[in-house]
Amino acid sequence: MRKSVFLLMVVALILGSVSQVFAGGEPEEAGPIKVGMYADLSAGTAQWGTDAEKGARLRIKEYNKAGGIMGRQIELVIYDCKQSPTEAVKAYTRLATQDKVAAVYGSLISNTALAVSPVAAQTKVPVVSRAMDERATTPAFNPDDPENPGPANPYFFLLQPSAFQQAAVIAGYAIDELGMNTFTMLYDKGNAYAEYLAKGFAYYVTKRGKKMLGSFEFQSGDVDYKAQLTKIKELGADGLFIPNYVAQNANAVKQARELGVKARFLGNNSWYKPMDEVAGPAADGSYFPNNMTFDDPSTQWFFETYEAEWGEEPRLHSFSGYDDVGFILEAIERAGSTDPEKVRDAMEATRKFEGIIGTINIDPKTHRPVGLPMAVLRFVGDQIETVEYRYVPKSP
Amino acid sequence: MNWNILLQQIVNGISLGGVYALMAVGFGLIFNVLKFSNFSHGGVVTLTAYIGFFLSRYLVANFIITFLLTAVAGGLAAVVIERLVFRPIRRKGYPISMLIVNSITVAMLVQQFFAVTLGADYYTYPNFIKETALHLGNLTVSKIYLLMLGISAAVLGALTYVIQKTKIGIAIRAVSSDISTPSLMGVNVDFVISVAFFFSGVLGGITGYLLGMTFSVDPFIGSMILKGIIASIIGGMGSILGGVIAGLLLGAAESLLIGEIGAALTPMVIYGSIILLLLVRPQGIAGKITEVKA
Amino acid sequence: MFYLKVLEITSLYTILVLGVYLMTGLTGLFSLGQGAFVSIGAYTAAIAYMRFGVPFPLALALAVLMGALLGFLVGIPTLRLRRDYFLLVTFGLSEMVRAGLLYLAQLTGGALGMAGMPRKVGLPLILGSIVVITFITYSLKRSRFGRDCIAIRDDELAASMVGINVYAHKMKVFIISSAITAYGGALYAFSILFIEPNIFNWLESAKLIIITFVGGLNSIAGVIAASVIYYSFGEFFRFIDVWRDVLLAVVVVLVIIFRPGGLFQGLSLLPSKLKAMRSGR
Repeated sequence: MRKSVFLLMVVALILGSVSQVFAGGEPEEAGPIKVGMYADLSAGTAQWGTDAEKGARLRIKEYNKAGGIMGRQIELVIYDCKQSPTEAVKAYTRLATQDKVAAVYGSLISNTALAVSPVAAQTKVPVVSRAMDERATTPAFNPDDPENPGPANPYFFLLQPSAFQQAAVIAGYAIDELGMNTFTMLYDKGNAYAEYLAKGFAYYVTKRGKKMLGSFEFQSGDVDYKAQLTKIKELGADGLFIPNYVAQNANAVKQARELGVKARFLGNNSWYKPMDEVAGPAADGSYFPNNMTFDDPSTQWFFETYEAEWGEEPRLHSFSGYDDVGFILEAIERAGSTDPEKVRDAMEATRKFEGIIGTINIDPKTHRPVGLPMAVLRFVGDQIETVEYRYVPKSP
Repeated sequence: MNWNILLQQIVNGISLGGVYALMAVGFGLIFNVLKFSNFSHGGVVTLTAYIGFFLSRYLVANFIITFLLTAVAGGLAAVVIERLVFRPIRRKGYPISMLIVNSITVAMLVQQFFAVTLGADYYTYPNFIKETALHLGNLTVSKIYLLMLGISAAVLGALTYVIQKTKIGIAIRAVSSDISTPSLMGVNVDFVISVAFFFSGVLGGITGYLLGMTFSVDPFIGSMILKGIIASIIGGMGSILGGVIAGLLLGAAESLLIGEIGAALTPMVIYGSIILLLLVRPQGIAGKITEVKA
Repeated sequence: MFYLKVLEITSLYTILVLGVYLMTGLTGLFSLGQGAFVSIGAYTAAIAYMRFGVPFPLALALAVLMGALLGFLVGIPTLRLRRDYFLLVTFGLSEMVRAGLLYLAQLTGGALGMAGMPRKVGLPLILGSIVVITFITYSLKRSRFGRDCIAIRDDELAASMVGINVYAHKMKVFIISSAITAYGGALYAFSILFIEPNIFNWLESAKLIIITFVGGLNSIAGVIAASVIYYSFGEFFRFIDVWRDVLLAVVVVLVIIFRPGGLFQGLSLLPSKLKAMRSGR
């Protein structure tokens, strides 16, 4: 039939097979050590991606100044995954098979992590990320039975408390330190990150014997939540949990204030800067958990170093990039090799990695950190202050 | 049924509807003149949201000045788009589908451009209005939403006057019913169309500014335009007033539905109803049936 | 191995482009709601296989059927509408489907999506599918039916006056196109292995339309070429990949103004000698 098209396809197949022959093989023994990264550099959460990249580059620069690892310099190979699962899969595959990196630092967006997770298990180059969705590390996780997460994906690691753990932090604080008994929540129905936090929050609250008076959702593109907030106001709960992305949280808070919702607002770790600029004084009196604080004297050095390098103040994910790439580099050092298998084993065996966000102990059963405390912060006017530097909630 | 809540929901809805109405008017102007769906209006809204931000942060933090400047910027942007992207197609006599494709492309271009360059930061306008809520008895209304509603009404009135009573308005009407004849009568069709685009662009600028002020600026702010366009369509082609009314109704319906059945089911009910409406009454609420010229 | 993956993903999207080509190139229908069919196809196949233990080939078939069925149901009220109305209604449709998928969380997993599908779809199946779909599209285009459709695309009013049943033609094409798109969705589920209600939004649908125009409304080969270039662009031009969509937009605007037949308008599936022989008959 269409001879030319048929020919084209045959050529493509041949090219494909040929490239397969040249792919694979041992990573180079000399030359720079390559660490791969795929992040959201454009699209909705671009700020997080670009912050993480800056943190990562800073850490690599420090290592290189000190002589690198095993006498070799370190190079960051980074691709934009545009918050898209297919782009993330492409980027990861390229990093693992073409660029032959020792390990990959992945985007923290849940759906990219969930798409890459099975690919990582097959391709066998380990991925480290902040994706809080439990399924990235333990694919069989069922939110209705959080105590039994199932086996871990050997090639995927999480470096911060998971969604359920983070929700427990703020819920626990609200119950034990703020004396709250009744709660409502407003979350993005189309966002797995928000939904998991919501489920985690509801699970913890109910387990502690307190009441969820109502749970309200909105669709991902919505910017106006007055309809939901009017109902929330009517229910009159003590606390309102709002665990979404920055712009949505800010809109929710401003509108809730306007309508006169009396509940105290409780947030997630997306309430850190720039929430203070976007929400302003409407956020007054709100509490939220975060991985770090900015007035902890033991972390001031990072603020200075980062500002000297990039000319701006670090934000939450600047810390993430710095810590997580540090975790990777330290594992490579301990493994004494850039063989992804050995690096993976070193990662699984990590106990007491000193990150800025705390000491990371990887639980080999879940590939998530164990016993990592979080900070609790609050808004006074439009200023953020630290309330607790290291808080661990009571078990439900 | 708690009447207070119901009333507040209706108020919420109509205010939100004011946003849709504003978008419907800007979109509807071109819809009526050139008889095609100008999706680039969303691009103008996004662009002006950013322009308004930069003007108010770096030039002068005065609401009125930056507001007017942004509106004018919107008008100019629309004229430029018309000149570069639509006029060549129109001149060569290509089918309308090309215009539609190009308008979608422009919208995409603007959105992606900002996503790449400025997407990484959150931009918020200076706080021009300290206390945004207006309390009327038990009800709360947002001043900004009222502003949008007011502007939609004012613009509607002004447009109606211009279109009915002024020379340029008559020229626009002539061009909208037949694009070739007016030139035989000595009307400069290109100029008339540019004027129409300028007006719609000004409306886009107003929309962009107000949206940016209320919700904070990001590259995807133009996607809200789709709801406004839908309002235009339900309202009916040939009637800008229909678009405004439809916008208000859409907002009210959304608010009430979300309150009663939740945000999960609401899109299904709303879009389902729209499809049914168009099935039964394809000209929309207030429109006239127009012959589709090929 | 990496380039194979790229080829895989590119080919998947090319199937979706072909689905749009059929609809837009043949009858001039514009749809911003392809996401609805992609999702329906993906979720039908995934749910059938994962929750009901339906064997994979049957699950694929089910996905195609659902796509066709949905196309039929949606087409009834909407195919008589003006072009731009249809465009918006299809957008509304994709929003409805998205909301529906989120709502039926028990079945679909809601925002959490569905994961854990086994890798049943590889390059051979995808490429093979493209060949088959191209064949179908080509035959349709060349047939009497196809010529009538193109007449509808160019001038609906005139076509109806010559006695062509516009509605029936549009419906048939829409059903086939929807089935193809749903099929693409099902393939997506079993090759990317993770699906969620947001996988395909209006922007992606718009890109499908745009790529079709760049390739040329009259050229299947052109459309395939345009699709392959766009979706694999990032891999060869990493340093400007961030600007990919902006570039696409600029190219499209220029193409439509200066070369409305499409960038590859001269490109034909048949080499010109064969073509000359055929028309000589």
